[in-house]
Amino acid sequence: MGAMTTSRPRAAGAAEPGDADAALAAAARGDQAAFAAFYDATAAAVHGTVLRVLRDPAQSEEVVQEVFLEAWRTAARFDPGRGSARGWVVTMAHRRAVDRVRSSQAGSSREERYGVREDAPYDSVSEEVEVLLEHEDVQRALDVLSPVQRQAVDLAYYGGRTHRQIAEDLDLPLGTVKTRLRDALLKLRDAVGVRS
Amino acid sequence: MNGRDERQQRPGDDEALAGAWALDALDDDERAAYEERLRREPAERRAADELRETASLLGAAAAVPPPARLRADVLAAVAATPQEPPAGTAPVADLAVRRRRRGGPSRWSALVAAAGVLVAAAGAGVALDARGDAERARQVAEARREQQRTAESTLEQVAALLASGDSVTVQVSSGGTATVVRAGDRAAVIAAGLPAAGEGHAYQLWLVHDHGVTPGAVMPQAGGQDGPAVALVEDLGSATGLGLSVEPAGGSQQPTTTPVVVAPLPA
Repeated sequence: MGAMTTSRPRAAGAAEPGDADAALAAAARGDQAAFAAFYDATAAAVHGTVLRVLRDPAQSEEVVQEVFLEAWRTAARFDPGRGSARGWVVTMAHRRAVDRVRSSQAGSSREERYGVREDAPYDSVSEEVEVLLEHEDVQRALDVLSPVQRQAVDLAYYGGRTHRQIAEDLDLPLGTVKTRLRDALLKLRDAVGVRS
Repeated sequence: MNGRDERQQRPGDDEALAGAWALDALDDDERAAYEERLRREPAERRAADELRETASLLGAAAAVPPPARLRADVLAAVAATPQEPPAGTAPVADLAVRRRRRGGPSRWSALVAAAGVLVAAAGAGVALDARGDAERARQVAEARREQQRTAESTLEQVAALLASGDSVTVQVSSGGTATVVRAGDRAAVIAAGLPAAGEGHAYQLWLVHDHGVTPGAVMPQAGGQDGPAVALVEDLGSATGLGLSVEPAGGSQQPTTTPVVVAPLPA
């Protein structure tokens, strides 16, 4: 699993992740000003994640608010041994956004708009990602992915599709999709320097 | 990372799912099974955590600042929202350190006094029932010990208390009983026959002091059809009683509902 340099998963390219970590730790002790700093350090990532998945600004704002309230309530449960504070809150946001996509009827109309038919290429999603990419490490890493790896990652992370759905969408064996998603993230991990 | 797909025991219990898990691309059942697997396999969990941290960069890479008014909304909501204690049955002493404000004398002191009257009126017959509850709770503790390594020491301490401590049982206002067993500075609470706490809620233990209350463990097993649930207090400090209230499932820093029971600590 690569060189062991530090004791926790950590994105080397993330902008000053320690700020968010320290702010969240203070917020866990009830410090509202520290929580405001945590919000400032992570709100764009949280909002962008949710917006990318839901594509509806009003719903996205609602989810962002829910996510930060959950982060405030459960700040004491953040385990810095398992990743960064930004990773923690972005993960929380992504899960909520995906849950909403999967549980809502809007999911089906959304699927039509951003579907995965052969002639409605996933590339439209990737292109937007490229436009909005925040930092070069991830950009470089995405270039490292093969087109089919990138397609699978886009469908899963930005499209909110399960690996079973992706297998159906792309008419691939489930095992192939599982492996593809894992290998893509391993490659991405090595490119951006997340290490534990 | 091998190809055991066809031989896996349960969908989701599969090392190869690390990527799909990190990307939130598992359905709920698979995710539960995979996360159970991660609890068994620390090395896999570390690797999976790395992939999840990596996946979160895909979100960070899509960053779009939210509208400015959202910040004010969030911070206003935060100011009105109590925080939850760490998950699980953390020692109460730790929670007390984390607590920032102490409540005033409040209604709790009066409730302790009222509970004392209730116990006196109920008489010795109730105390006899406590032993039956205690025995059933001990069996529950034994069963859970096999399932939850992290709770092991807590439950052993509860079992020890059940064997040696003095107990008092009080009726819970919403139904059922709460038995408090005390030995020195430590105590256990056995909640039996309580109504379900409701979706997204759980019973939480409180230490009642003359000056207010401090938070105790959340008891996710308490209430509903399950058997008696137990929680341990490691250090009673100045507490004169223990209470239970219904709180959001993660627990609260201060009670947000009227306690369903307050029991005085046995001497």
